[in-house]
Amino acid sequence: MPEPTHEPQDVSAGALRGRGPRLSARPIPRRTVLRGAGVVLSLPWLEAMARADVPAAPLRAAWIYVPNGVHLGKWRGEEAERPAVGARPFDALPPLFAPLARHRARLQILRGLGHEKARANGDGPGDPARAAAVFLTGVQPLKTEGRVRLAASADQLAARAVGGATRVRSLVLGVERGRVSGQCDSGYSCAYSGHVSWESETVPAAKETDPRRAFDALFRGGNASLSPEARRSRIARRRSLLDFVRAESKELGGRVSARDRARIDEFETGLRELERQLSFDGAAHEPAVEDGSRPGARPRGFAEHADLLGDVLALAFEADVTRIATLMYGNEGSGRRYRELGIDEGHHALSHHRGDGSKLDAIGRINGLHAETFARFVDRLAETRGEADASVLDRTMLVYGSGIAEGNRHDHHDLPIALCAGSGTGLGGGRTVVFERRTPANDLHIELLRRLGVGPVPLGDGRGPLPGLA
Amino acid sequence: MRLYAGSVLRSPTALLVAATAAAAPLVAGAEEVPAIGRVGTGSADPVLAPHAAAVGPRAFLDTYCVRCHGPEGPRADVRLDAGALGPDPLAALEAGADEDALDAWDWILEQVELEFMPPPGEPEPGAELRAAFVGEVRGALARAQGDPAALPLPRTPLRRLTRAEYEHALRDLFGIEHAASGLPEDAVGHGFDHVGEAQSLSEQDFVRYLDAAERAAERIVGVRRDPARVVRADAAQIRADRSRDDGAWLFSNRTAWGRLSIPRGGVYEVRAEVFAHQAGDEPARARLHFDGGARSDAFDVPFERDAPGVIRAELTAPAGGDVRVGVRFTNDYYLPATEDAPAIDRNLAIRWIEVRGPLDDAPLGAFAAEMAGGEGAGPLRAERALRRGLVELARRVWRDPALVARDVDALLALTERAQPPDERLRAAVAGLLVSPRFLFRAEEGRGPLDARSSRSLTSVETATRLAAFLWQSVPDPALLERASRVDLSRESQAVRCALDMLGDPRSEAFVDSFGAQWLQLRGASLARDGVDGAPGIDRAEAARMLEETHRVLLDSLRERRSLWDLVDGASSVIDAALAERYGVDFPAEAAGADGWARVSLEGTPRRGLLGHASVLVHTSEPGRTSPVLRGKWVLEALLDSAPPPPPPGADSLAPSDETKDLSFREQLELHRADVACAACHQRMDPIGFGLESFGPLGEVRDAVDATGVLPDGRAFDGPLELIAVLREDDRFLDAFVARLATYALGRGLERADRAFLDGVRAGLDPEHPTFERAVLGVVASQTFRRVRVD
Repeated sequence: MPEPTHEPQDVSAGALRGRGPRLSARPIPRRTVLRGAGVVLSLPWLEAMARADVPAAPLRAAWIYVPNGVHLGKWRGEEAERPAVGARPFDALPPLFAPLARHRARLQILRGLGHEKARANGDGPGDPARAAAVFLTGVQPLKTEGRVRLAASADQLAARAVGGATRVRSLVLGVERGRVSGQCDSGYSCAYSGHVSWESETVPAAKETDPRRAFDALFRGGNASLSPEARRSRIARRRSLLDFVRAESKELGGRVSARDRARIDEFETGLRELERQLSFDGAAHEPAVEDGSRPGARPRGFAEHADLLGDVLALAFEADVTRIATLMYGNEGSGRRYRELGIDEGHHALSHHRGDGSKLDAIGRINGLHAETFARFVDRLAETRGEADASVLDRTMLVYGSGIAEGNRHDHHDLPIALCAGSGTGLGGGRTVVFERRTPANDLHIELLRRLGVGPVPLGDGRGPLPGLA
Repeated sequence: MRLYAGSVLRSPTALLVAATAAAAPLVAGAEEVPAIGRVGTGSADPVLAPHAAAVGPRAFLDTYCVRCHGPEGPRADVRLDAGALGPDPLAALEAGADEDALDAWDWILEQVELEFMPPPGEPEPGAELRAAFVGEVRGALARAQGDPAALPLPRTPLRRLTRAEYEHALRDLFGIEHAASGLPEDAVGHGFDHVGEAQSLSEQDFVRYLDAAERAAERIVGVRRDPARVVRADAAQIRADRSRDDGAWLFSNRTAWGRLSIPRGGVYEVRAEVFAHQAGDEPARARLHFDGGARSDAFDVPFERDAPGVIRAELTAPAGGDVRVGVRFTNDYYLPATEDAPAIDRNLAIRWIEVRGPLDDAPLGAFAAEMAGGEGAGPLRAERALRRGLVELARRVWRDPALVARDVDALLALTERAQPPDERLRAAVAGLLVSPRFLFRAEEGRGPLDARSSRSLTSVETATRLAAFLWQSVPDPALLERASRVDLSRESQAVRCALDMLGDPRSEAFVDSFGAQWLQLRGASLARDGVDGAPGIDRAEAARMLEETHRVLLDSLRERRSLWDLVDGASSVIDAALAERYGVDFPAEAAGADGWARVSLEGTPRRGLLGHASVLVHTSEPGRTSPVLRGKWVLEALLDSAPPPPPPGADSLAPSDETKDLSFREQLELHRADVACAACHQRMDPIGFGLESFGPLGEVRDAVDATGVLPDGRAFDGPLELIAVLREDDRFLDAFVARLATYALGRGLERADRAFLDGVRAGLDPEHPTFERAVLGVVASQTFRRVRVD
């Protein structure tokens, strides 16, 4: 484990790094544009930023999910329905990717990737639920309204294997909360359509939808009003509390049935997570990240909400608090009404457009709003200084896509998936890459896992790392 | 006898596939959309069977089903032919049926009995053959499944407190209103957010519980020694005579105020950086003070602009919150300019004001004081009191009256003995709230096992189930006390207790939670923009629409009204604005102080829940009604018979040259002619058509075609006739009981629950079935009062 040779003298900068099993401690760049409240702020100059001995920087990965498929014409541009296999440099960027024009050289639009397990395969209707569940797992979800069964997702495998190097193993974010009543999707539990990130067969990773809470959890120890003194005493208190709850949980676990024991086990994974946080000094507090970047309480409209979540994620990458993330721009099957675009009808209902021109147009505009939001996130990563004078984007891999291709057809082959990755990741750009039809989308995830340094792991129906992306 | 199929069978297609797959491999991949079969006529007129009268179930299936549901048919995803189900399907069923096969046959039975199948345009068996088939299947099913009352009691998976239950628990145990907003999200399963099977805990979730417990403990115990915090107002935020770049200036004997936020009243250090434009024979002078508090002595301020100085004082703030803290200029001095000399002017400038604190200990809160043996108790006495108090507290919070002193040792061991009692108490309360004994509702029962592998709940466990069911909370101290005084696991005691709990205002949370989730209205956004200058629905009115539904349900329970009023009641509880929207007179003199009254709807087409604006708006698209959504809502919510969603791609209402001039209704009718769509749409659409008299904002509109024909041939024109048809059979009551039972048990219903459901249903007075009776029927049942143990 490389240790910095110059220990920073500033106490607050020291607290930044904790004492946990961390592989690298990256200096905080001075010029950090924080968009939190529409104000541009800079981080204060800290000793930590002056360090020259930066160890080989890690890679980061984030998967961004968009629901209800996309307007394929605008996503693919002039592309043929079935283009020839191989890589082809962009002529003109497809219309939806116009906001990403400045990152054109870092962008690859992938064709031919699909998710066989999102098809019914005998399970009947429920494509939206399956689309989200399968996106990062490649495993067919069990059709049930009760106890779910799926598999650990790619991001969570990465979080388990390499996420331990940072204080937070992975960030799981989303713009929409789970549904609060009614039927979710044709007998599928709501957990499926609301989560692409799964810790295990039975546990979807808790998704944070409130940017301010996400910020506080990452940078303010979960409670922005605590003084440093109170935070310190809380660490000690939590240590003893942890031992206490462990004993309590063991006692209860001995009394319940084997089935219920699984619930207690889930509860105990939370105890281990707390233990991990405490090993990082329970710090969870980054004084270098200033209050000015703390998001407002109630974002209005999609763009503001998604921007704030993107800002928190960018800050987390920048401060190297985490390296793995998922961000859902909507739950699959989302019926959000994009009134800011003058669109009153719900997104999902629109996606069943039946060829209706005005509905297709509305779908295209919603997709455009999502793409612009994604582009602002990429811009932000590109503008922020990361390791060794490069941008944060330089060593970041971003997957942007949906588990449904065309909403009206609910199809899951040739999915809209794009890859945007900095030059430090070794991934190429500036082109469309067409794979054999029915190439599992999981192969892409396996390739990213490989680059992240995750050992070979089985992942759903994936066959192996996807070649041809370098 | 049968029914409840809708709730027990969530996914009929999948189940049928499972059942048929057991007998023969499927030919077609079910995900391929079945090719479209023959286009039907949409007519309800029976088409004569082409074959001679079918005899026996095999012949019935062959004659009326297998053309589509055979190996080569368009619906081969659901196979009913001899190759799949055998030459004598019912014999096979009786010989050995698993749960899936039983469910599949239930579904077949429902499809045929309710005349959903065969679809319109296909050969029609006629009443006699239909009845014979139904009778045979029902008999075989009854024999195959044996006595439902002898099946093992379904398991109730371990449940954790939902967010609402957690908040209510803090209220009922500690008397605080505390929004626990950071708690884990409650996943919805079987239509409700407290179903154990659907709840899982992510690794992030324990920290969320911990945060919530620590915050709650601070609220409950109070914080004596706040960590001192610093807040500051800069010159620009200080109100003075003039604000300049170099400071906030006072030109006369006045106070410059900074507005700051402090946690509570108490002692604070107040500092201010100041300087003056000196003049006259003494330096400028200033005092510091909180608004409404005592002033400090006057300070000399001999400082000049290039070297400002800091004055400081310890002052008592009278109260916390947003307070004003001031710097008062006390010796203004001014000589106007004369011909000989310029003006002499002494002025004071403030660069910032800072407040640090609180520096003192807050008084011990009442709760903490009592737990620590009174304010100022000695350490020994305080320790003894703390231990005694914690035992009492733990018995309540952990719902364990048998708990003894050594069980709280671990809570006391969270802190050192030498720490102040409030700190020890805060840690212990956080420990109580983060223990799985509080967060989970484990049930072990007691007494002998019965033939259903179940045993009786304990009295306290029964109280806990009742509190979750009827208060959306945990037992409060009074209920726990009752549970130790009388045996609530006995039927009569449980029912009596439930009746008392329904009379408590807290049962309103039950009505709200159950009602809003049952009717799918929770979180519904009913606000609508107006179209073409017509008024829409603003947020306030949207809230009132939801309130109407809530009040009607509450009234149904409290006033013991007939449940049928929810279907065809000719009155509702509304306010004057809703009365105007509904076009009925609002008797102001009958309204309660809050402006709501029960109002007659006679003379309008509005009846029951289907007349509520909340329901009508929620099931409309912006700007237009949706007969499909409305029909689907009626099937799901009122009849508990959810249709599966459309097969992807098959639902093309594509505007083509032939159809573009048709009305939406005509397009839908064309759509229903498509066999693949007909099975569901022939059930949904007519119901929605019958409600076409209500516009997308819930308003009555005239001159609309509101006719419809149900699959069984019953025809109606308008909401009143539709509702009369819905009223003809008992499905609504079955559905209501099934949803209520799901809510009460916090789990999905199973086959083994049928006897229980039938029992609750039979307990309703056919002349006057009530909400209250249904609740008490559930509570009285063995299913509610026993727990599966194995």
